[in-house]
Amino acid sequence: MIELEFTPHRAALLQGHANSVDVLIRAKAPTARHDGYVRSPLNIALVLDRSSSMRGHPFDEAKRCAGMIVDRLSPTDRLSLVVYDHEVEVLVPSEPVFSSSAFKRALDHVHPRGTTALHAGWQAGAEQVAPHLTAGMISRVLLLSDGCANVGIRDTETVARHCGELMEAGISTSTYGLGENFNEELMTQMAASGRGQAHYGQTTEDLMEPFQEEFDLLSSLCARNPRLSLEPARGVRYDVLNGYPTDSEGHVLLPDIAFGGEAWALLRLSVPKELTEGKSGSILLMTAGLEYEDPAGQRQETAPAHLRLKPMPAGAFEAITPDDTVAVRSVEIEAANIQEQARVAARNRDWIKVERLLARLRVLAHSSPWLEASIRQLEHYARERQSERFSKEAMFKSARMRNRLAALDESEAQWSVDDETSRASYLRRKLEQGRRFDAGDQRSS
Amino acid sequence: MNSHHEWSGNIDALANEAAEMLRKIGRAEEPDVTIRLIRDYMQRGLLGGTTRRGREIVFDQQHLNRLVAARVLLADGWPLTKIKEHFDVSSAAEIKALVPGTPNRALDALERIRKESESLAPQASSSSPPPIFRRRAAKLSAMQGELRDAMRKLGLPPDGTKPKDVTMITIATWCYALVDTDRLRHLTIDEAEEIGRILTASLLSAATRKGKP
Repeated sequence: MIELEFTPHRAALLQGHANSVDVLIRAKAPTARHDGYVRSPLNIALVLDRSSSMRGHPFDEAKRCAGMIVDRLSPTDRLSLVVYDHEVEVLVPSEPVFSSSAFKRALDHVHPRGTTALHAGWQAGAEQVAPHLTAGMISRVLLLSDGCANVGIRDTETVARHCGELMEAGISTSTYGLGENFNEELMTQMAASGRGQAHYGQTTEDLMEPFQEEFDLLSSLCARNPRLSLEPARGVRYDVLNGYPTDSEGHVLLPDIAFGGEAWALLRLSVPKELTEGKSGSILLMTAGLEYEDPAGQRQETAPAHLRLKPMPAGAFEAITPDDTVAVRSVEIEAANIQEQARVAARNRDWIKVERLLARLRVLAHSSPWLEASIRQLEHYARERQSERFSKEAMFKSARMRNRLAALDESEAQWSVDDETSRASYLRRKLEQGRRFDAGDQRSS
Repeated sequence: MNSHHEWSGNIDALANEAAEMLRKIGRAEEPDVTIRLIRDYMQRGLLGGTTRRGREIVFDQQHLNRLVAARVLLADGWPLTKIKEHFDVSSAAEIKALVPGTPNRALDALERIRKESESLAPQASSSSPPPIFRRRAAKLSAMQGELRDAMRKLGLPPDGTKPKDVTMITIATWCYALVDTDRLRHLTIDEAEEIGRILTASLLSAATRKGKP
């Protein structure tokens, strides 16, 4: 089902020289669901922050999001509802979703109060999911918070490590941050280690879309837990520039892949001069393979992909047109790195450094219409000295640029709201990660 | 069949399903699960509450898990009264985890996380750890299951090896004989002489094979 292919930036090597080669490795899903496709059943714990800061509209919106999720589940799915402040309460223990009303009623009597035992809330959600872990079922904790963990385990490394340990045991974690006061580092690290999605909404009105996007993705998955193996030829070294985690066997852990999309990794190969000398044909530089779980939970493997490039003299080498897709993805990775640095500078209120980094982004943006459109809001936050908003938007945008699923029909040469609107929500290139993709809002940015 | 189907059935089906589960986890040597046995367990409160559909009692996955777990624990030496006490304070998931051959990595991971959480932030965890004896029971049950499998592979009786008393006789500082103590008590002079000759021949034969004259 998944096709694996290499796309080099330039389909040749410069003969007689050491080469640094940027290459995309792409895991492509089918364009559309096949006849008879049934999404994997879900085994979910929805863990909602009910600390006092959620009082009023925020918690009402959280309940509305929970209701949306419940309405999209069926009796083959399991759901539990957990709320937490400084204490944790399991409102509804995990059960098949025969009726949505019981879940919705359970939230009606919840009144925000207290502080934030985020880790304990997450753990309670995991404890609801764990007993029902079954092959072929997607087991996940969805955690919402508008604040910082201030009770119990709080340090990012420990919490993220726990999410990683649970992921290795089969339960993933997605996080939803709300507003300006949540800890974006903690939430993105939990989702990264837990191999789920990290979302945020700047306002309560922006909260529903991330939940819908997650659900759209879960309903369209065709390959879960993809593990990429890369075998370079002797003498060739490589780096994976996306920052994906690796497992104990050295496999690169890619994001889950949905229909109509591709997961990708940008590799930078170092090819020594000796390999490009005295060769008349193409040389094998790398072999890649991908293992993943299909919707039925069965382990699948792609056919191996091979990267072969031919050493050419300088004139012929320069005549080869570089691939636009590789060029643009390379820009996105570099932009992600710059935004991460800018985030740190903004946190330190070093606005001079922020401006310097934004200037570098503007230069890069000449090569990427999406980037060009999306940095305007960052510039606005920087001008207004809105440190929290800048930090969150930069963090989530940076993470997105590194690990997003790309639409199979994505154009590198242009970006438009209309094009993105026509796509599945999980494939859209948004202008702002923290704002809902309302066409009007996006056009006016 | 939907792989996520939760089992349900009448008392006959419960007996058959339980027997099948016990067979799959290598406990088929247990006495057969009979209807009479199930009624006895119901009376003792081991299976939990039941519901009726007309005149027939309907059993579900939880009843099945309780029945199988009870049979496993009984075979491991736990009395029925103790088993009932465990079940009364256990969740359905914890009872299910007592059945060997159904490992759940996520529960194991959560146990480790829970222990670490308690050591790092004793007030943080809102869920109290399960009683130690339940964990011990589950571990013991799993270990005993593995022991039975190993015995079977070695061709040994599945109920375990019986310990034997042996007497070690030092013949030289570099040579020892291990003798069944009970048999030694009945050794005759003729047998001792015969063993001496066999020992001599064995030593010479082994020494010759190694190239010594």
